[in-house]
Amino acid sequence: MFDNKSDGIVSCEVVNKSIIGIVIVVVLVLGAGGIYLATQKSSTPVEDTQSNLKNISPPPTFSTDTSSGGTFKQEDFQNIKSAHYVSSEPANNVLLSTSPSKVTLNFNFNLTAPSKIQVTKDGSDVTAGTTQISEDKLSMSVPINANQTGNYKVAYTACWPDGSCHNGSFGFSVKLP
Amino acid sequence: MNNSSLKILIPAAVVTVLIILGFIFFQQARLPAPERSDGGQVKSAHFVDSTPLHGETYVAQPVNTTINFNFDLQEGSKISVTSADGKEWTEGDALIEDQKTALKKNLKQDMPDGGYRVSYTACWPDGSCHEGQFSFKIDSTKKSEYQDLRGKKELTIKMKEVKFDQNKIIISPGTEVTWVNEDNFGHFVNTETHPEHTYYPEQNSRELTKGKTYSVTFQTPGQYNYHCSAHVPEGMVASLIVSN
Repeated sequence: MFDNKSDGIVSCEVVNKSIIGIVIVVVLVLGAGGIYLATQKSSTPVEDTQSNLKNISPPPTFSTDTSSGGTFKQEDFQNIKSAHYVSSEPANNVLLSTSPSKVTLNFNFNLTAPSKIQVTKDGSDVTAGTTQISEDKLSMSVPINANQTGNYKVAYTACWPDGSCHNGSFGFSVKLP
Repeated sequence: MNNSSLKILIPAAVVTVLIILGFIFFQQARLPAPERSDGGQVKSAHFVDSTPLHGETYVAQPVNTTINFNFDLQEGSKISVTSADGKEWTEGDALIEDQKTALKKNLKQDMPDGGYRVSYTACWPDGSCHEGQFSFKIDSTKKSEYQDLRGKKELTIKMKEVKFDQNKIIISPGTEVTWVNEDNFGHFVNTETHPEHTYYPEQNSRELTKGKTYSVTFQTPGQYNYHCSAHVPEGMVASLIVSN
Protein backbone atom coordinates (compact mmCIF):
# COMPACT_ATOMS: atom_id res chain seq x y z
CA MET A 1 0.00 0.00 0.00
CA PHE A 2 2.51 2.57 1.11
CA ASP A 3 5.06 2.26 -1.69
CA ASN A 4 8.05 4.48 -2.26
CA LYS A 5 7.69 7.08 0.51
CA SER A 6 9.65 7.02 3.72
CA ASP A 7 7.96 5.55 6.82
CA GLY A 8 7.86 8.94 8.57
CA ILE A 9 5.91 10.71 5.81
CA VAL A 10 3.43 7.86 5.37
CA SER A 11 2.51 7.66 9.06
CA CYS A 12 2.19 11.44 9.14
CA GLU A 13 -0.27 11.30 6.21
CA VAL A 14 -2.31 8.53 7.88
CA VAL A 15 -2.55 10.59 11.07
CA ASN A 16 -3.66 13.66 9.06
CA LYS A 17 -6.42 11.68 7.30
CA SER A 18 -7.63 10.23 10.59
CA ILE A 19 -7.78 13.71 12.11
CA ILE A 20 -9.76 15.00 9.12
CA GLY A 21 -12.13 12.04 9.45
CA ILE A 22 -12.65 12.65 13.15
CA VAL A 23 -13.23 16.38 12.55
CA ILE A 24 -15.88 15.56 9.89
CA VAL A 25 -17.61 13.14 12.27
CA VAL A 26 -17.60 15.75 15.04
CA VAL A 27 -19.03 18.42 12.70
CA LEU A 28 -21.79 16.06 11.52
CA VAL A 29 -22.70 15.03 15.08
CA LEU A 30 -22.85 18.70 16.09
CA GLY A 31 -25.06 19.32 13.04
CA ALA A 32 -27.38 16.50 14.11
CA GLY A 33 -27.46 18.00 17.59
CA GLY A 34 -28.37 21.35 16.09
CA ILE A 35 -31.26 19.82 14.13
CA TYR A 36 -32.41 18.04 17.29
CA LEU A 37 -32.38 21.26 19.31
CA ALA A 38 -34.15 23.18 16.51
CA THR A 39 -37.03 20.67 16.35
CA GLN A 40 -37.10 20.51 20.13
CA LYS A 41 -37.46 24.29 20.33
CA SER A 42 -40.36 24.37 17.86
CA SER A 43 -42.31 22.11 20.19
CA THR A 44 -41.90 24.25 23.29
CA PRO A 45 -45.01 26.48 22.97
CA VAL A 46 -47.30 23.60 23.96
CA GLU A 47 -45.03 22.56 26.80
CA ASP A 48 -44.82 26.16 27.95
CA THR A 49 -48.60 26.46 27.99
CA GLN A 50 -48.90 23.29 29.98
CA SER A 51 -46.29 24.31 32.50
CA ASN A 52 -48.03 27.68 32.85
CA LEU A 53 -51.16 25.81 33.82
CA LYS A 54 -49.43 24.59 36.94
CA ASN A 55 -49.23 28.19 38.11
CA ILE A 56 -52.87 29.11 37.72
CA SER A 57 -54.08 28.54 41.22
CA PRO A 58 -55.69 31.69 42.60
CA PRO A 59 -53.33 34.07 44.38
CA PRO A 60 -53.10 33.26 48.06
CA THR A 61 -55.48 35.23 50.21
CA PHE A 62 -54.95 35.90 53.84
CA SER A 63 -57.10 36.73 56.77
CA THR A 64 -55.95 38.67 59.75
CA ASP A 65 -56.99 37.37 63.13
CA THR A 66 -59.02 40.11 64.74
CA SER A 67 -60.45 38.15 67.62
CA SER A 68 -57.65 39.22 69.93
CA GLY A 69 -57.89 42.91 69.10
CA GLY A 70 -55.41 42.83 66.21
CA THR A 71 -55.77 45.35 63.39
CA PHE A 72 -58.46 44.36 60.91
CA LYS A 73 -57.35 43.88 57.31
CA GLN A 74 -60.00 43.39 54.64
CA GLU A 75 -59.48 40.28 52.55
CA ASP A 76 -59.77 40.43 48.75
CA PHE A 77 -62.09 37.55 47.77
CA GLN A 78 -62.43 36.10 44.27
CA ASN A 79 -66.03 35.78 43.14
CA ILE A 80 -66.00 32.22 41.79
CA LYS A 81 -69.38 31.81 40.11
CA SER A 82 -71.36 28.62 39.65
CA ALA A 83 -73.54 28.23 36.58
CA HIS A 84 -76.59 30.57 36.62
CA TYR A 85 -75.15 32.84 39.33
CA VAL A 86 -76.71 36.32 39.17
CA SER A 87 -75.91 38.18 42.41
CA SER A 88 -75.51 37.92 46.15
CA GLU A 89 -76.48 39.80 49.28
CA PRO A 90 -74.03 40.85 50.75
CA ALA A 91 -72.16 41.37 47.48
CA ASN A 92 -68.63 40.12 46.96
CA ASN A 93 -65.95 42.17 48.75
CA VAL A 94 -68.30 44.67 50.42
CA LEU A 95 -67.24 46.10 53.76
CA LEU A 96 -70.23 46.32 56.14
CA SER A 97 -70.44 48.33 59.35
CA THR A 98 -73.35 46.28 60.69
CA SER A 99 -73.76 42.53 61.01
CA PRO A 100 -75.82 40.92 58.24
CA SER A 101 -78.31 38.34 59.53
CA LYS A 102 -78.26 36.15 56.43
CA VAL A 103 -76.56 35.46 53.10
CA THR A 104 -78.70 35.24 49.95
CA LEU A 105 -77.65 34.08 46.49
CA ASN A 106 -79.71 34.78 43.35
CA PHE A 107 -79.70 32.63 40.22
CA ASN A 108 -81.50 32.64 36.87
CA PHE A 109 -82.45 28.95 36.89
CA ASN A 110 -84.35 26.48 39.09
CA LEU A 111 -82.47 25.52 42.24
CA THR A 112 -83.18 22.15 43.84
CA ALA A 113 -82.12 20.29 46.98
CA PRO A 114 -79.43 19.71 48.20
CA SER A 115 -78.30 23.26 47.33
CA LYS A 116 -76.40 24.68 50.29
CA ILE A 117 -74.57 27.78 51.53
CA GLN A 118 -71.82 27.63 54.13
CA VAL A 119 -70.29 30.74 55.70
CA THR A 120 -67.05 30.68 57.67
CA LYS A 121 -64.93 33.23 59.54
CA ASP A 122 -61.31 32.27 60.12
CA GLY A 123 -62.23 28.70 59.23
CA SER A 124 -65.08 28.43 61.77
CA ASP A 125 -68.65 27.80 60.60
CA VAL A 126 -70.89 30.79 61.36
CA THR A 127 -74.07 29.57 59.64
CA ALA A 128 -77.00 29.60 62.07
CA GLY A 129 -79.55 27.36 60.36
CA THR A 130 -80.30 25.43 57.19
CA THR A 131 -80.27 26.79 53.62
CA GLN A 132 -83.74 27.65 52.31
CA ILE A 133 -84.66 27.77 48.61
CA SER A 134 -87.17 30.52 47.70
CA GLU A 135 -90.69 29.83 46.41
CA ASP A 136 -89.71 30.78 42.84
CA LYS A 137 -86.59 28.56 43.11
CA LEU A 138 -84.37 31.43 41.94
CA SER A 139 -82.62 32.20 45.21
CA MET A 140 -81.41 30.53 48.37
CA SER A 141 -80.43 31.97 51.73
CA VAL A 142 -79.00 30.91 55.07
CA PRO A 143 -79.08 32.71 58.48
CA ILE A 144 -75.64 33.59 59.86
CA ASN A 145 -74.07 34.74 63.08
CA ALA A 146 -71.74 37.52 61.90
CA ASN A 147 -71.56 39.70 64.99
CA GLN A 148 -67.77 40.08 64.96
CA THR A 149 -65.40 42.22 62.91
CA GLY A 150 -63.69 40.05 60.34
CA ASN A 151 -63.65 38.46 56.90
CA TYR A 152 -66.47 36.07 56.02
CA LYS A 153 -66.04 33.48 53.29
CA VAL A 154 -69.14 32.15 51.57
CA ALA A 155 -68.95 28.75 49.81
CA TYR A 156 -72.02 27.36 48.11
CA THR A 157 -73.28 24.41 46.11
CA ALA A 158 -76.05 25.12 43.59
CA CYS A 159 -78.02 22.08 42.39
CA TRP A 160 -80.19 21.82 39.27
CA PRO A 161 -83.38 19.91 38.38
CA ASP A 162 -81.52 16.76 37.30
CA GLY A 163 -79.55 16.64 40.56
CA SER A 164 -76.23 17.90 39.18
CA CYS A 165 -74.49 20.46 41.44
CA HIS A 166 -71.86 23.15 40.99
CA ASN A 167 -69.72 25.07 43.45
CA GLY A 168 -68.99 28.74 43.85
CA SER A 169 -67.52 31.03 46.47
CA PHE A 170 -67.07 34.69 47.42
CA GLY A 171 -66.68 36.76 50.57
CA PHE A 172 -67.45 39.94 52.43
CA SER A 173 -66.13 41.75 55.48
CA VAL A 174 -67.66 43.25 58.58
CA LYS A 175 -66.00 46.06 60.54
CA LEU A 176 -68.05 46.96 63.56
CA PRO A 177 -67.63 50.49 64.99
CA MET B 1 -7.93 10.36 -1.15
CA ASN B 2 -6.44 6.96 -0.76
CA ASN B 3 -7.97 3.75 0.56
CA SER B 4 -6.89 4.28 4.14
CA SER B 5 -8.79 7.54 4.55
CA LEU B 6 -11.86 6.08 2.83
CA LYS B 7 -11.80 3.21 5.32
CA ILE B 8 -12.26 5.76 8.10
CA LEU B 9 -14.54 8.24 6.34
CA ILE B 10 -17.18 5.88 4.87
CA PRO B 11 -18.16 4.15 8.16
CA ALA B 12 -17.99 7.51 9.95
CA ALA B 13 -20.31 9.11 7.39
CA VAL B 14 -22.74 6.17 7.51
CA VAL B 15 -22.90 6.24 11.31
CA THR B 16 -23.43 10.01 11.31
CA VAL B 17 -26.23 9.87 8.75
CA LEU B 18 -27.91 7.14 10.82
CA ILE B 19 -27.64 9.31 13.94
CA ILE B 20 -29.25 12.28 12.13
CA LEU B 21 -32.05 10.10 10.71
CA GLY B 22 -32.58 8.63 14.16
CA PHE B 23 -32.95 12.06 15.75
CA ILE B 24 -35.39 13.22 13.07
CA PHE B 25 -37.44 10.02 13.29
CA PHE B 26 -37.79 10.15 17.05
CA GLN B 27 -38.66 13.84 16.93
CA GLN B 28 -41.48 13.18 14.48
CA ALA B 29 -42.76 10.20 16.43
CA ARG B 30 -42.59 11.80 19.89
CA LEU B 31 -43.95 15.31 19.34
CA PRO B 32 -47.57 15.97 18.49
CA ALA B 33 -47.90 18.90 16.10
CA PRO B 34 -49.48 21.59 18.31
CA GLU B 35 -51.60 23.17 15.56
CA ARG B 36 -53.30 20.02 14.29
CA SER B 37 -57.08 20.09 14.48
CA ASP B 38 -57.28 16.75 16.27
CA GLY B 39 -54.95 18.05 18.99
CA GLY B 40 -55.55 17.78 22.69
CA GLN B 41 -57.29 20.08 25.12
CA VAL B 42 -55.45 22.71 27.12
CA LYS B 43 -57.65 24.32 29.79
CA SER B 44 -57.02 27.86 30.93
CA ALA B 45 -57.56 28.96 34.50
CA HIS B 46 -61.27 29.06 35.50
CA PHE B 47 -62.32 27.01 32.43
CA VAL B 48 -65.56 25.07 33.02
CA ASP B 49 -66.76 23.73 29.66
CA SER B 50 -67.60 24.77 26.10
CA THR B 51 -69.88 24.50 23.06
CA PRO B 52 -68.80 22.52 21.11
CA LEU B 53 -67.18 20.30 23.72
CA HIS B 54 -63.62 19.15 23.13
CA GLY B 55 -63.69 16.20 20.73
CA GLU B 56 -67.36 16.68 19.85
CA THR B 57 -68.54 16.01 16.27
CA TYR B 58 -71.23 18.25 14.82
CA VAL B 59 -73.38 17.22 11.86
CA ALA B 60 -73.83 20.84 10.76
CA GLN B 61 -71.70 23.76 11.82
CA PRO B 62 -72.24 25.45 15.20
CA VAL B 63 -73.41 29.08 14.94
CA ASN B 64 -70.82 30.18 17.49
CA THR B 65 -68.18 28.96 19.89
CA THR B 66 -68.99 29.58 23.56
CA ILE B 67 -66.62 28.92 26.45
CA ASN B 68 -67.83 28.92 30.07
CA PHE B 69 -65.68 30.01 33.01
CA ASN B 70 -66.37 30.44 36.74
CA PHE B 71 -64.82 33.91 37.03
CA ASP B 72 -65.24 37.43 35.62
CA LEU B 73 -63.89 37.75 32.06
CA GLN B 74 -62.40 41.09 31.05
CA GLU B 75 -61.91 42.98 27.78
CA GLY B 76 -59.01 41.54 25.81
CA SER B 77 -60.32 37.98 26.05
CA LYS B 78 -60.48 36.38 22.60
CA ILE B 79 -61.33 33.24 20.62
CA SER B 80 -59.98 31.92 17.31
CA VAL B 81 -61.39 28.94 15.37
CA THR B 82 -59.29 27.62 12.48
CA SER B 83 -59.72 24.78 9.99
CA ALA B 84 -56.85 22.43 9.09
CA ASP B 85 -55.78 24.76 6.25
CA GLY B 86 -55.29 27.59 8.76
CA LYS B 87 -58.36 29.60 7.73
CA GLU B 88 -59.98 31.69 10.47
CA TRP B 89 -63.74 31.06 10.88
CA THR B 90 -64.79 33.44 13.66
CA GLU B 91 -66.27 36.85 12.82
CA GLY B 92 -67.23 39.97 14.73
CA ASP B 93 -66.20 40.87 18.26
CA ALA B 94 -65.56 38.46 21.12
CA LEU B 95 -68.68 38.66 23.31
CA ILE B 96 -68.71 38.39 27.10
CA GLU B 97 -72.08 37.15 28.42
CA ASP B 98 -73.79 35.42 31.37
CA GLN B 99 -72.54 37.54 34.31
CA LYS B 100 -69.13 37.80 32.56
CA THR B 101 -68.61 34.02 32.71
CA ALA B 102 -69.22 33.12 29.04
CA LEU B 103 -66.82 34.04 26.20
CA LYS B 104 -68.43 33.77 22.77
CA LYS B 105 -67.61 34.44 19.13
CA ASN B 106 -69.91 33.92 16.15
CA LEU B 107 -68.81 31.71 13.26
CA LYS B 108 -68.92 32.44 9.54
CA GLN B 109 -71.38 30.41 7.47
CA ASP B 110 -70.48 27.51 5.14
CA MET B 111 -67.86 25.81 7.31
CA PRO B 112 -66.78 22.64 5.44
CA ASP B 113 -66.50 19.16 6.98
CA GLY B 114 -63.27 18.57 8.85
CA GLY B 115 -61.42 19.28 12.07
CA TYR B 116 -61.37 22.68 13.77
CA ARG B 117 -59.00 24.03 16.42
CA VAL B 118 -60.27 26.51 19.00
CA SER B 119 -57.66 28.73 20.68
CA TYR B 120 -58.70 31.22 23.33
CA THR B 121 -57.24 33.80 25.68
CA ALA B 122 -59.20 34.48 28.87
CA CYS B 123 -58.37 37.65 30.79
CA TRP B 124 -59.21 38.31 34.46
CA PRO B 125 -59.88 41.33 36.72
CA ASP B 126 -56.21 41.54 37.80
CA GLY B 127 -55.16 41.96 34.13
CA SER B 128 -53.62 38.52 33.79
CA CYS B 129 -54.54 36.38 30.77
CA HIS B 130 -54.40 32.64 30.24
CA GLU B 131 -54.53 30.59 27.03
CA GLY B 132 -56.36 27.39 26.23
CA GLN B 133 -57.17 25.16 23.27
CA PHE B 134 -59.58 22.44 22.22
CA SER B 135 -60.92 20.82 19.03
CA PHE B 136 -64.15 19.78 17.39
CA LYS B 137 -65.22 18.28 14.06
CA ILE B 138 -67.95 18.74 11.51
CA ASP B 139 -69.08 15.58 9.69
CA SER B 140 -72.20 16.10 7.56
CA THR B 141 -72.44 12.42 6.54
CA LYS B 142 -74.50 11.75 9.70
CA LYS B 143 -77.15 14.20 8.52
CA SER B 144 -79.01 11.13 7.18
CA GLU B 145 -80.02 10.35 10.79
CA TYR B 146 -82.00 13.61 10.86
CA GLN B 147 -85.63 13.94 9.76
CA ASP B 148 -85.95 16.59 7.03
CA LEU B 149 -88.86 18.87 8.00
CA ARG B 150 -87.83 21.91 5.96
CA GLY B 151 -90.40 24.14 4.33
CA LYS B 152 -92.73 24.42 7.36
CA LYS B 153 -93.53 27.73 9.02
CA GLU B 154 -94.41 26.09 12.35
CA LEU B 155 -93.54 22.84 14.04
CA THR B 156 -94.55 21.24 17.36
CA ILE B 157 -92.27 18.95 19.37
CA LYS B 158 -93.93 16.95 22.17
CA MET B 159 -92.18 16.32 25.45
CA LYS B 160 -93.66 12.94 26.31
CA GLU B 161 -92.49 9.91 28.30
CA VAL B 162 -89.23 11.73 29.17
CA LYS B 163 -88.34 12.23 25.48
CA PHE B 164 -88.53 14.87 22.79
CA ASP B 165 -90.71 13.03 20.25
CA GLN B 166 -88.74 14.44 17.26
CA ASN B 167 -85.21 14.63 18.57
CA LYS B 168 -83.19 14.95 15.33
CA ILE B 169 -84.72 17.25 12.76
CA ILE B 170 -83.76 19.65 9.97
CA ILE B 171 -85.84 22.84 9.61
CA SER B 172 -85.78 25.92 7.38
CA PRO B 173 -84.66 29.35 8.63
CA GLY B 174 -87.67 31.23 9.99
CA THR B 175 -89.46 28.14 11.35
CA GLU B 176 -91.19 28.63 14.71
CA VAL B 177 -90.67 25.55 16.87
CA THR B 178 -93.10 25.00 19.78
CA TRP B 179 -92.39 22.52 22.57
CA VAL B 180 -95.35 21.21 24.54
CA ASN B 181 -95.16 19.14 27.74
CA GLU B 182 -97.51 16.14 27.73
CA ASP B 183 -96.04 14.46 30.82
CA ASN B 184 -97.47 14.82 34.34
CA PHE B 185 -94.23 16.35 35.64
CA GLY B 186 -92.09 19.33 34.69
CA HIS B 187 -89.77 19.56 31.69
CA PHE B 188 -87.37 22.20 30.38
CA VAL B 189 -86.00 23.30 27.01
CA ASN B 190 -82.40 24.46 27.45
CA THR B 191 -79.58 25.18 25.03
CA GLU B 192 -76.06 23.75 25.42
CA THR B 193 -74.13 23.39 27.64
CA HIS B 194 -75.61 21.63 30.61
CA PRO B 195 -76.03 23.37 33.04
CA GLU B 196 -74.77 26.79 31.83
CA HIS B 197 -77.17 27.15 28.85
CA THR B 198 -75.01 29.77 27.13
CA TYR B 199 -74.76 28.63 23.47
CA TYR B 200 -78.08 30.06 22.22
CA PRO B 201 -79.67 31.75 25.28
CA GLU B 202 -82.84 32.55 23.28
CA GLN B 203 -83.66 28.83 23.59
CA ASN B 204 -84.00 28.65 27.39
CA SER B 205 -87.33 27.95 29.06
CA ARG B 206 -88.11 27.85 32.74
CA GLU B 207 -89.95 24.80 34.04
CA LEU B 208 -92.89 23.78 31.81
CA THR B 209 -95.65 21.97 33.70
CA LYS B 210 -98.15 19.70 31.91
CA GLY B 211 -99.81 21.42 28.94
CA LYS B 212 -97.44 24.42 28.98
CA THR B 213 -95.68 25.42 25.76
CA TYR B 214 -92.50 27.27 24.80
CA SER B 215 -91.68 28.64 21.33
CA VAL B 216 -88.53 29.80 19.54
CA THR B 217 -88.10 30.97 15.95
CA PHE B 218 -84.75 29.91 14.46
CA GLN B 219 -83.07 32.05 11.79
CA THR B 220 -79.32 31.40 11.56
CA PRO B 221 -78.33 28.15 9.78
CA GLY B 222 -76.42 25.74 12.00
CA GLN B 223 -76.81 23.03 14.60
CA TYR B 224 -78.61 23.65 17.91
CA ASN B 225 -78.26 20.95 20.57
CA TYR B 226 -80.60 21.20 23.56
CA HIS B 227 -81.81 19.21 26.55
CA CYS B 228 -84.34 19.01 29.37
CA SER B 229 -82.45 20.15 32.47
CA ALA B 230 -84.48 17.81 34.70
CA HIS B 231 -83.78 14.69 32.66
CA VAL B 232 -80.28 14.80 31.19
CA PRO B 233 -79.31 11.58 33.03
CA GLU B 234 -82.35 9.90 31.40
CA GLY B 235 -81.07 10.97 27.97
CA MET B 236 -83.71 13.63 27.28
CA VAL B 237 -81.54 15.45 24.74
CA ALA B 238 -82.19 16.55 21.17
CA SER B 239 -80.71 18.40 18.24
CA LEU B 240 -82.11 20.51 15.45
CA ILE B 241 -80.37 21.75 12.33
CA VAL B 242 -81.42 24.96 10.60
CA SER B 243 -80.57 24.67 6.89
CA ASN B 244 -81.53 26.42 3.67
